[in-house]
Amino acid sequence: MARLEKPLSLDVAGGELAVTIDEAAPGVRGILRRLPWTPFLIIVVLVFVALFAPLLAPHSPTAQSLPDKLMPPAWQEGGSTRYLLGTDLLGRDVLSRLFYGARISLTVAAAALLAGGGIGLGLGIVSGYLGGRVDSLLMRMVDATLTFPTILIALLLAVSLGQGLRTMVIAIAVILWARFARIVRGEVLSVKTRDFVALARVHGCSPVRIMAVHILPNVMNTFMVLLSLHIGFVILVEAALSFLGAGIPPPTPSWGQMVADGRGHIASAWWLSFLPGAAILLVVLAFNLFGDWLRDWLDPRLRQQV
Amino acid sequence: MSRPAERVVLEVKDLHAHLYTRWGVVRAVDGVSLTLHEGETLGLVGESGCGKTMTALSVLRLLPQPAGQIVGGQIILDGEDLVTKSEREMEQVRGRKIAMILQDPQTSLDPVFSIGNQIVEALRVHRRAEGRRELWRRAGEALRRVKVAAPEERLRDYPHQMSGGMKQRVVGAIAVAGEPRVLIADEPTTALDVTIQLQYLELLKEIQARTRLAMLFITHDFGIVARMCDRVAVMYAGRIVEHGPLRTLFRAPRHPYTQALMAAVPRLNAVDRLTAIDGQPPALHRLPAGCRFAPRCRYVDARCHLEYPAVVPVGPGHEAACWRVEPSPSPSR
Amino acid sequence: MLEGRAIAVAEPLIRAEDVQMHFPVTRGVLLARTTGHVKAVDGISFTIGRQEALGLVGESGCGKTTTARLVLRLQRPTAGRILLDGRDIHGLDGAELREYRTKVQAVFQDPWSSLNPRRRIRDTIVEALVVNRRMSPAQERDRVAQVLEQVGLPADAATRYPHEFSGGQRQRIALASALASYPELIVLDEPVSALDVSIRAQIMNLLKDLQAQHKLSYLLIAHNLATVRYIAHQTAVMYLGQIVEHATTEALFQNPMHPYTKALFAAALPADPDARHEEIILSGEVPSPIDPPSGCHFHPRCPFAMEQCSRVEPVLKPVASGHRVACHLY
Repeated sequence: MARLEKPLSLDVAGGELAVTIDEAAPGVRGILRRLPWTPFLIIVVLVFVALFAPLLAPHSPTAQSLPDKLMPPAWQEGGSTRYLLGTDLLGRDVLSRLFYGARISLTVAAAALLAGGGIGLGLGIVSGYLGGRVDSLLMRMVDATLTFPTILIALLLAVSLGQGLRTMVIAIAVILWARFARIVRGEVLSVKTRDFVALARVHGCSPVRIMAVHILPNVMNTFMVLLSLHIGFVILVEAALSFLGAGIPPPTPSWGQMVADGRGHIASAWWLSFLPGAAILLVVLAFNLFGDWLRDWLDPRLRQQV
Repeated sequence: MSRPAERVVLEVKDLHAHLYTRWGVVRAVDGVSLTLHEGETLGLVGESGCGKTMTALSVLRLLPQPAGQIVGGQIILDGEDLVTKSEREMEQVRGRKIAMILQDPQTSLDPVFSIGNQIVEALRVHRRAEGRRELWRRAGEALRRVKVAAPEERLRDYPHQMSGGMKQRVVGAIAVAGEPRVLIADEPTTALDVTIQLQYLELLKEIQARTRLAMLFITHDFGIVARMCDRVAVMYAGRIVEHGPLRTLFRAPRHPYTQALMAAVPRLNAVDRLTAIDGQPPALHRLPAGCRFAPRCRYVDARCHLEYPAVVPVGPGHEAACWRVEPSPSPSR
Repeated sequence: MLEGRAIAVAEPLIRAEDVQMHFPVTRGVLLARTTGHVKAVDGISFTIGRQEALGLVGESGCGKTTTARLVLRLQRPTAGRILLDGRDIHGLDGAELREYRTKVQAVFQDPWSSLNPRRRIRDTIVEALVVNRRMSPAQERDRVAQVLEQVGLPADAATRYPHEFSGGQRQRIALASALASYPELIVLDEPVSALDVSIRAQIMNLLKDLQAQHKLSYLLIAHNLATVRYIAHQTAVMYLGQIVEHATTEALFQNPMHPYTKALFAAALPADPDARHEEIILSGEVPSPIDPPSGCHFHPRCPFAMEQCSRVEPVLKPVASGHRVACHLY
């Protein structure tokens, strides 16, 4: 929920003017009316599908049926209603694999965001609040991390730690923490100049208490927005790594893997690469739009920051 | 010091401006009428959020977009209605006919251009034909007129190299560079220190005496009003509740809000208990029916809650909107 | 022995002794070197007695806010001491420090910035108690209800959030939070200057009442003379880090002596179009505290400057009973 901390101020011709409005933001109805419905629905469907994949999928995602291999989607000539979106080279159901692939994407996104985002949040707060040498050191580490190409780090880690879900999460978290830390730190720098932080010191709060009680809740908005804006990014990285063969090892279905597998047959069996590709596009777009909306809703001041 | 003989420069008639926000419709300006004569200063006084800045912005058609709209009334400048003008036409009005000085000099100046460039830009409005060198010379003159020491050298300075008082002088120089007829000063000294404030007020008076500017001076400080203004309009919750000549308003305020406001000002020479006004102004998107001051008014009666009182003349050039005031037959207008 | 006791009794609540706060000005990033000092506070001494209010007046950059931060222990002075009940506040630790944290509280200027928007009012109010003392939830609740009543807010304010309140109400909450730990001194840094006229009077009256009811001492930082006049018993005028005049408020307002004080009075415009009023319009602006003028810091702007003013720094000396001025004219 957005809270109005200052009188609504609007920037006009370089000057600020304030209209005092002493009321909280509108209630549930207001939020519902302004929800970005299309992206929101896509996300709901995705989560639903990922949660209930075993119930929804018509086939096992790994069950091969060579006689049925390379069947086109049901609406094309040669297609069958048994395989709504067709089958792949080994005769596995593309629809079921997409459903299970959504699980992988979301699991990786959730785990990596929690790990990387959480670490970034913590270090960003410490860095911003304490300042001085701690800050210099942490920010140089952030710079170093950010100068590495994302995919390169992930590939290096995948090679050295071995393929698998855990590696993937660690690799993405390593990339994420720096982005989070830098932006959270910036927000902390502005929060800590507010008078309530000085008053907390007057009251005798310890630095730990100030960071936990006074700073953390006031950067949560920023954090939530960062999370939502990075879901799409994580899904993309996961897909890219899988595409490059450094992701989740087969036969576990993953969207990136599916695109990679189908790319040799793009002329004869377009659905193999196109459908998972479209899924990635749709989901990433939906999360980004949702993140944009959340950002504007929670705090219009952030518009230029991320 | 009413000057009936002076020409009317600006006349605002029953102006209504709304802001359409998340919280609902904010009736920021709700039927404001005022007149501004050549060479006079009209003080627009009120508390924050009463709509005084919105009134000023409406006159310049600079309401925050897309939230702000003028929904009724007329703004007549030299016989032309500004409300009906196109954005293009308004650009010819701003800076040339009406200029504005805002509260914070920090945000009024562009940090990436030198002072000289910004003044030249403003001068160009009136002197398209003149060359760069000539304009630069005039910019130096403009700075000298606002009493900036060593003006030729300061022209090359950037805003961050100047103190707040100096910057506000530059803002003043830019405002009058286009030789406007009307100057709107919105709390121009609030960000300045007191000794600097006094210098600045004197400067504005000098400029006015020289150019016969009509000035709309927005403030909440009765000390500044007493020093600067010829007439005063008191605003509360989007409307002008009382308006009259300076001395009349200070000596014999008629509206209970004006009276209470004056009594609430702490004095230097007395330590009597201050008479505070209880409660706070209503939110402009949830105005009470009837008189908006009624919930805080000590003389309130049943009628006040039902109907907004009409503006009635109570003396020469003196009007108030309150059920308690007896209209006096207005003598010579 | 008798003498010793007399001194102990006369010891004021706060005694500042030749306090100095010089901030180094550095150049360069890698090998930063100090190129000068901002002399924010440059050797000031004052006392605040019990139940007494001291007003510090001056323009921006005169050091009054730095002084407040020093008394609040938000900064450590580069020289001099500040004593609370005879103990140097910057040497306190453990239980004594916790004691100090409850005894000295603050209210700041901007009520939009001084309340944590993410915390309920009751949590903000009891913070100093929670951090420094052991209290049961029931005791906390009672104390919150008590102070809310004392500042004139309804009891149900406790469970609400700051955004539900207006500026004036927020300043009341800030006061409640300062009062909660039974303080002896409240540092008020421009407590009413962000408020509208009608609300300002409410808060000023409240400040006065609270002081009498709870036997509080105030250190009031303000640029508005009328505010100081209304609340402070003693007034000190600061210019460029130094106190230039110090007297009882009554004496100072009756007879301001230092030319700078006079100029401040002249600049305070009376809300009366016909008020008779001395005209001193100072030329120039306040010089930089990095390199203040020689001699008397005020001499470049002073209409009465004499030859010696640029050479000899005047000391604060008594010119009448309880009235001290740092000026060569006296």
